[in-house]
Amino acid sequence: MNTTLSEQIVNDKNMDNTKLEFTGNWFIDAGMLGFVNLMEEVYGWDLAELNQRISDNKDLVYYGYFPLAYAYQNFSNIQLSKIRDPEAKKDIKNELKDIKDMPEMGEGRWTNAEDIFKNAFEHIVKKSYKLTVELKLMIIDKKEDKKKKKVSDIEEEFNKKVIEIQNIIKNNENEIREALNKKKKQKILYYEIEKIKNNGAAEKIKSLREELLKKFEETNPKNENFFRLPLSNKFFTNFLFFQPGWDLSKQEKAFYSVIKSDDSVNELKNIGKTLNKFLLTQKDFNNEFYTSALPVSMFQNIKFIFVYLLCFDEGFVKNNQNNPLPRSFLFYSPNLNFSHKINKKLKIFFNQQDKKYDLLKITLNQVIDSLYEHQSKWSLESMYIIQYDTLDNQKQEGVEFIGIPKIQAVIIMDDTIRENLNKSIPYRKKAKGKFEYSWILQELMKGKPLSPIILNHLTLKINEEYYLSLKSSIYALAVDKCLRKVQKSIIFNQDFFKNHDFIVDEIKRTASIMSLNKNCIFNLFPNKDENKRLSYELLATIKCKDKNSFLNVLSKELINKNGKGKEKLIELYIQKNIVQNDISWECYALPLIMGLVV
Amino acid sequence: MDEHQDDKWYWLKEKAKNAFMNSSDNYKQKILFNLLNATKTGDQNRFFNILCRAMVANLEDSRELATKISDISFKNKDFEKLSYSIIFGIIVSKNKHGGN
Repeated sequence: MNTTLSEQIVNDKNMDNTKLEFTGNWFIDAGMLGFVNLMEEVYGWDLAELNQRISDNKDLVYYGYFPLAYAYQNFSNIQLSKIRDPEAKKDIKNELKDIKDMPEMGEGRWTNAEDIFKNAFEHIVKKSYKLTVELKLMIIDKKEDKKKKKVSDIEEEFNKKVIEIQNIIKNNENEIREALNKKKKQKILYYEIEKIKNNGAAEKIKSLREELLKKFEETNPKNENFFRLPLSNKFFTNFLFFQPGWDLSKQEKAFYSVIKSDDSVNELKNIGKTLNKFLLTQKDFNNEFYTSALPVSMFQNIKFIFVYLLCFDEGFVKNNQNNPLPRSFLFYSPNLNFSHKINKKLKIFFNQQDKKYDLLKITLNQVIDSLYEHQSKWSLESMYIIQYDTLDNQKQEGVEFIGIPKIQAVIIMDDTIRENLNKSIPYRKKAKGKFEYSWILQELMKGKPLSPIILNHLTLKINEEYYLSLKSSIYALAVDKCLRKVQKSIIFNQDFFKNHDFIVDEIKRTASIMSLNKNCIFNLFPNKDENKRLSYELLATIKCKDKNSFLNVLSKELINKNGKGKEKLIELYIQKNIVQNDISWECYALPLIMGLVV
Repeated sequence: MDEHQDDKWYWLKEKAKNAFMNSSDNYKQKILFNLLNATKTGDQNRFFNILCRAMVANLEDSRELATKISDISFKNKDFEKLSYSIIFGIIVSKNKHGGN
C-alpha cells in the first residue's frame, strides 16, 4: 500500500493470488471495481478489508457474502421500485435488510464452497418471500395474463383466484371508484382496493397473500416451478439465473456455476456482446485468424471472472441528480486502488455538485489532486472515462469513451504547463457581455487542436470585447505546435519509448521563443491604431490559412522598420518557423499578432 | 533530411543578405516591393526576372547567390519558401546598411 503506483508490477502469476488486482481488460476491471463497490456499499468493507477477508477465506466472500450482497442490491434497487404500495414496500424493505446477514452454519462447513453457497441461497429465498408474493400479486392489476401451456397446480390455483378477484373488481368498478375517489380513466390498483372495508375483493386479495406466504413456508419451493427468486437485470439477461422461466433449483445451479466461473459447466463460453453491450458480437469480432471471440478459457487465470462481469454495472458511478451529465460513468486507470479512490471521490463530489456540469473537468480535478498524492504519471497515461445514459438489449444511448493519450498525459503532468492551460478562456460572443468559454486543458485531453480557440480568443481581444489571456494563449500555441510535430512523426519511434519526456522542454522552449518575438513586435510597432488595422489584416490571412498572404503583409510592414536588431530576431523567427514550416506556422504567427494588440 | 532542407533555405537567405549588402536602401526597398508583389501572385517568372535584373546590376556581389539559386532544385510548392528566404535576406541587409 505504501509503494507508489508506478512501482507496482502486474504479472500473470499474481492473478492466482487472493489479492484483488486489475487485469488490464477494462470491462473485467470495471466489473472488479463493481465488486469492490458492491461489497463496500452493502457491508462497509473498504478495499483493504475486502482483500484481507478474501485472503482469510475467499470461498466465504465469493460464495457466501457475494450472493447475499448481490441479491440484496438487486432486490433493493430494481425489484423494490416495482412495488407501489408504500406500506408493503416498508415491510419488504425491513425484511430485505436481513438478507445481507450471513446465516449461521455448522462447524466445519465454512470451508466448503458449495455448502456456503447453498446456505446463502436458502437464506436469500427465505428472506425474499414477502417480495416474491407481492410481485406475484401485482398480476391482479394487469388486464391480460399470458397463459402458459403447462402450469403447476399451485400456479393454476393462483391464476384462478386472480381471475376471480379481477371479475369482482370489474363487476363492482363503480362502487370501488366512488370509494377511492377515482375518475373514469384512473387505474385502480390492488392494494388500494384492500383498504376499502366490506369489500369482497379486498378479503380475497388478503387471503391470497396469506395463502401464498403459507405455501412458501410449508412446501419446498425449490421443486415448484411457480416460485423463483425475483432477480432481474437489463444488462445481463444472458446469465440464465435471470431467466423468468427458471425455477429456484435451476436458478441455484446457474448462480453457483456463474460464481464458480468454470467454462466447462457454464453456459457462457465466450466473452462478447451477449455478456457486455460494450463488446463486439462473435460475428463482428474480426480477429478471426487468432480466435473467433474472447473465449472464457482465455481468462482462466482470473478467478471468479463471472462475478466481476456480473458486477460490471456496479462499477459505474450513478448520477441520479437532475443535471445534463451522463447517467452512468466510470473513471478507469489500470490500478484498482487508484480507480477506486477516484470513483469514490467523484461520487461524493457529484452529490454536492449543482452548478458545474463538465464531467471531464470534475474528473480531472479529482485526478490531478490524487495524482499529486500518488505521484503517478503512469496512471494518467492510461486513464479512460467511459460513460453512458442507457445501456440494455434494446438501446445504447449516450455511450462515450474518453481516453487520455500518452503524450497529453506527459504534458499535463508538468506543473507549469498545467497551470497555464488550466484556464477557461472566452472564444465566442453569445450576447452583449456574454461569452462562450473553452477550457484549454479539456480540449487538449480530447485531442483537439488548440490554435483555433486561441485564434478566436485573439479575435475577441482585437474587437475589444475581452482582455487577452496572454500566457495561457502562448502556452496553448506552444503545446499545439509540439503536438502537431509529434503527430506527424512515426508512432513507434525512439521518442515514443522514451516516454515523450523531451516534449515538456520543447514546449517551454517554444513558449519562451514565441514570447520573446511577441515582445519584439510590440516594441517595433508602437502605433496602436496602425497596429489594429494590421492585426485585422494578418488575422484574416491566418483564418484563410494563407501563409503567402500573411508573409506578404508582414514583410511589407517590416521593410520600413528599423529596430536596432529587433527586426533581425523577428526575421529569423519568421524565416525558421513560418516560411519553412508548413505544419504549424499558424501557431507561430499568432504570437506576432498578440504583440501588435497587447 | 528535414534539417538539411532547413539549411538550404537558411543559406539562401544568407547569400541574399550578402548580395545586397552594398546596395542603397531605396533601391532595395523598390526591389522588395516588386518581389513581394510577384510572390503574392505566385508569378515565378516575374519574380526571377526582377531578381536577375537586380543581380546583374550588382554582378560582383551576387555571384554566390546566383550559384546557390542554380544549385537548389525546388518544386513549385517550394517557391514560397525560396522567395521569402530571399526577401527576408534582403530585408536584413537593408537594415544593416543603415538609412540613407
